[in-house]
Amino acid sequence: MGELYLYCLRENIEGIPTISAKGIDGREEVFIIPYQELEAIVSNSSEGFASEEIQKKAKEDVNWIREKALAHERVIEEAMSKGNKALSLIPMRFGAVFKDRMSLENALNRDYSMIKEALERIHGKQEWSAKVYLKNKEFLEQMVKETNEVIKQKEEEIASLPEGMAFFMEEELKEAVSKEVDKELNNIINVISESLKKHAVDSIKGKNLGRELTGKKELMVLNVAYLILEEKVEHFKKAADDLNQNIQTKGFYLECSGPWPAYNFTSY
Amino acid sequence: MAQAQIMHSTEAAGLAEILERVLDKGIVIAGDIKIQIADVELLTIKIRLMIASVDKAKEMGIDWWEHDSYLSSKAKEVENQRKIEELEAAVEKLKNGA
Repeated sequence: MGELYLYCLRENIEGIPTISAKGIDGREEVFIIPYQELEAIVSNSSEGFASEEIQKKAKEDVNWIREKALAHERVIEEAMSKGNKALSLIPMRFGAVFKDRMSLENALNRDYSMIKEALERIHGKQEWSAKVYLKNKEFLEQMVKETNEVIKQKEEEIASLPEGMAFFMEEELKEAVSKEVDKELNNIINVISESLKKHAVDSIKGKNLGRELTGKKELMVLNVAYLILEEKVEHFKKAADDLNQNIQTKGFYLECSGPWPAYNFTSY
Repeated sequence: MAQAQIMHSTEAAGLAEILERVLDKGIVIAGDIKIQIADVELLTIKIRLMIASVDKAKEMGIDWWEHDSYLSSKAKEVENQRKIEELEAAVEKLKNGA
């Protein structure tokens, strides 16, 4: 037997096939522990999570963490799929381990009302992610120079000045361009996040992940998680497609992914 | 227009996006044991570097450890040690440079 590793909690639903993905240790079966109106998706593990060896791995061995995190996510994604429908469930953060079934049931009992409330909140809804990347900042700068009225005026002003004066004005112009570029960037980001929000019941802005995290050469400029009613998901996707077409011409692109387990909307 | 595609499944999402959620979001239920992991951002960087170095090696045709079962376990140890040292240096560099 050994310890119980907890992946997620969902409402007790009948007629859902067993989960075929292997557990966190790559060997053990994943199974379901029903508790009142809930189901806990768990697997046994003989890994000894409390052991110094494992705790050390969790801190240092990136390969170990990557494997475990992906295994964790795979189980949850399978637990949330029923045919082509996505079930509402509460995903756990990586690393919740119980010493036995009794201990898990105690925790479920203790948090029961909060768990039920969280499930209620996301019932019939899906988490989607939208990330916007800036492909080319020079391109955006060029566009601002060509179309921005403030900049155009400044340029005309400079053109009419004697050479010596114009030199000093050039610096001012550079500053103005950079300010206008930032404005335009914020503007575009706002338009995108607000347009997508119209199709969602909730949204949470995340940190922009750096290039070293995304492995992309483009810069992430927006990272939002949306909670969307199932019946609105198609609208959301259509809106995202349209926005993406739109912003491509300005040197950006938008990436959507989902449905995700509702990691961002189930805290209690 | 490859970049214009909307992804409809999380399978296609990047590692960073998965780790961002699994390791940093989601409910923390008070269990008996908590597996403490290192800083998520630092971790993701390390993992990226690791993948990059393995891909690079394969690109260069250095993949003999995958085929030679007798050598592979020993080779892995040496390789891992070397990789860890490289990674640590790279992460240090990133940390200082960022």
